[in-house]
Amino acid sequence: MANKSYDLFAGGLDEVIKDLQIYERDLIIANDIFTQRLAVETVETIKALAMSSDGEEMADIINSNIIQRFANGQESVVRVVNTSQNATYSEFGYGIVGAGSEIDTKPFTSDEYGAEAIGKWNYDVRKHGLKGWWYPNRFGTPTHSIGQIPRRTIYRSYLSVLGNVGSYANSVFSKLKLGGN
Amino acid sequence: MTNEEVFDEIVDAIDDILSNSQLNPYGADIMSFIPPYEPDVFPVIVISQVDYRLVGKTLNKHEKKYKFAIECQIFSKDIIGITTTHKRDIANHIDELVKGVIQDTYGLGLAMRNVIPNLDENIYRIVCRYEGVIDEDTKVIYIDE
Repeated sequence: MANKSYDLFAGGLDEVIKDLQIYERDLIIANDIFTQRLAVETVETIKALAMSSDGEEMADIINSNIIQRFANGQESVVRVVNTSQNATYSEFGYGIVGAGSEIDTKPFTSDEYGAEAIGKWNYDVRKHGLKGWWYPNRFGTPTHSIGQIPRRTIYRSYLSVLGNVGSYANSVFSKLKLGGN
Repeated sequence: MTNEEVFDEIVDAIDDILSNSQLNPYGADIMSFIPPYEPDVFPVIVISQVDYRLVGKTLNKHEKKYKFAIECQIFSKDIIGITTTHKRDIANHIDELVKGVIQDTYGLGLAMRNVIPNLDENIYRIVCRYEGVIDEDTKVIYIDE
């Protein structure tokens, strides 16, 4: 913020009050621009990280994220909300299947994808077997899964954006000066 | 103290707490990765280190500070006996104990806590991520605000 001098004995106090009001207004506008910048950077980082991955579920994580942002003067928030369970699995992995568990989903019929697509889902998160299940990939063709490990795309994006948040803030707020631009 | 030593120490401390039958009547299997088999004993705790990188150092390369993050997944099933203990209550109880160790004893901050869907819907799943910064010189762990 640039320095500015006021003559308090020649109507300067009124000028200070007026400039502070303008500055307050500019801060609110700048804060809104800042959260918008954060939201855009978050989306772009998620997309970039997702596209560099080989997982078919990446399409889900790219297409199902809703970015919420708000700034209320007290705090500025950018929140990523995904609307797809596949995207959640992509981030955190499929988790654990307990012994003897009946995971009977049978998502496809033989008419759709052939006899080999019939059956219960089998579970495997490590590549030490070919257990898995069939699911439609982003092109709609049946794909055999060998299990989904946690890819942490959103978390890695968060870390990346967090590392740059200072420069984003600086680029927005350093332009402000008392008395307006 | 290296990050591996810090991580091992935290896992050992969690193991001690969860092995104490007075504090944790449900027991727990602690693992560092999702098991490559279908476990028949629950609850299962999977603790893994998900971030460790240099975040600051002085010009003479001293006072290195490292960002340190741990992910803790808690998996639980209903315990059916004379009365049924709900899987959610079990997971929440263990979560409180784990949080006591990681947050209160070691000073890492809780960055995320969510109930995450699990492929096997009979199993309840809580995922928590804890973050902090380790100062390699002073061995102090603190929350990076």
